[in-house]
Amino acid sequence: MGQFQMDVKFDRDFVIFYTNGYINDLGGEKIERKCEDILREGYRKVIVNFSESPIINSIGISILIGLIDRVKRAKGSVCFTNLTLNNTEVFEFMGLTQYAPVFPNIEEAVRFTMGHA
Amino acid sequence: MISPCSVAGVKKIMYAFSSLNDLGQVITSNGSFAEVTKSGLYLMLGTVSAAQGAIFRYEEEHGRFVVLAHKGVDGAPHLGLSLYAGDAKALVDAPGVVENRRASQALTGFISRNGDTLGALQAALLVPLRVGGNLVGLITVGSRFSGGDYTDDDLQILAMMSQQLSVGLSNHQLFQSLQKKAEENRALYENLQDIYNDTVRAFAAAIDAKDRYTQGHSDRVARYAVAIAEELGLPQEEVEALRLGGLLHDIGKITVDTSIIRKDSVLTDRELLEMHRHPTVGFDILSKINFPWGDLSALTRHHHEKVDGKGYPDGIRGEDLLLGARIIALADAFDAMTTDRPYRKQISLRETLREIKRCVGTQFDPQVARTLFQIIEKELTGRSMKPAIIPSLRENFDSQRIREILQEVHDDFCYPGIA
Repeated sequence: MGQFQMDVKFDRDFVIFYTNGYINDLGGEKIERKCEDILREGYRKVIVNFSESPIINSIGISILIGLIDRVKRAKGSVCFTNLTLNNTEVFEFMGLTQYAPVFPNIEEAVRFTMGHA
Repeated sequence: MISPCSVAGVKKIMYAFSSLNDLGQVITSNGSFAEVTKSGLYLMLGTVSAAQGAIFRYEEEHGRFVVLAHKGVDGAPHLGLSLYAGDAKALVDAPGVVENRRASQALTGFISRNGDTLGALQAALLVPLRVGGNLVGLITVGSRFSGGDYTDDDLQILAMMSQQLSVGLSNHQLFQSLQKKAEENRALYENLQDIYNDTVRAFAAAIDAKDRYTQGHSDRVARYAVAIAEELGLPQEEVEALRLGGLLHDIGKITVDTSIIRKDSVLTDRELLEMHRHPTVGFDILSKINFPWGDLSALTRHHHEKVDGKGYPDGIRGEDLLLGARIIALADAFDAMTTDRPYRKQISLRETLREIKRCVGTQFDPQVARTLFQIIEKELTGRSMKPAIIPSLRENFDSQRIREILQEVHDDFCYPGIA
């Protein structure tokens, strides 16, 4: 896979990050930077779709903890979708799912986000 | 403790091993030191699920830790840590990972003194970075993102990862120290070289000062010889040898009586004999000095030799004569012809070129002469990046004169030995 990239889709109430590429080096910091930007713009609900990111190592976990931490402090919500089974397990035992639920697809993640006050 | 028998336990162990492996790759990567340290910190934090942390380099001479990278701390706070006497030893003697709240008494002073920084970093763990009993840095790790205490396995994996990072940090510090030493040596060498060059120039000026007619002669001969050597594509060491050879070729004249050097009429046999001794006197002076570039004493000895073997002092001919000596011989004669002398006025460049042509194959080496002509052509037609010859001549070059000289340059010469 090439260098890590990210697309962002803005909805009225939430933002979806579409990650593309392995999240296993400092290139993944784009996620945290983008998160800072959207929080500044007033968004508080973030969905991250990992369908194009099959590999997430501990650098990636550290970056995603940073993302959750920022959104938490802004009193927002984060959820994840389209994770591989292995990554879902890692997110669980690393404690990320305590603050950011994981959904199998984007529709369920959107439903959760819309229902989240 | 992770139970390695459970599936979750195995997965956690696999994840930890994978992080260790990634850390090894990061440390041995081509990334910059800043990238390596930051990636190393992120890997450690991501392995034990910590949101905050920082990595510091130990500066023994200043008794402090300087932050290299940090994570999870907003803004750019001052993240220095100061050490007092005994702190470094306490960190060297500490276990692989120190839990802040269970730190030994030896470390409580360090922790309380640096409370502001450690508080900003929410440091729950201190991980000293050590190599061979020496402190090289420190990593702070914030509390567990998911809550709860760190497990023994977390502490073990952090200790293992810190050993790898310690080596990486230590290697970088060694490299930096070597680079600093190399830089100091380079500056010292350049300084010595400047002193050396100034000394050689002072010698050359002292030789030329014996006669107002020869002022600047050695400097010009050096410049012409370098231009010829560079045009011939000689290696840099040989070019440098010719520069010095040009500056010192007449050093033997120091012992020649000034009245002979300044005499404006034909020299007597005795005077000529004394004058002809200057290459061997120069050789005697320079052969006692071990020059780093080439055999300068030989260049000095042979700069009055001729390719037909009729020069002095040894009558060496053709290619038995060092190329460097053939170059200096031409550069010396060229300058002698294009400047005033006590016994005659300078001659024009065109006449000089004719004279050189006439003497190719007897006095001058054809290849060296042709190279000199090429340089003059380039300089007159504006194709030389750093003209060395034309700007040194006391002659006005209008377009008519340039055309005539170029004609002279283009009319090739014949000399004995060439059909």
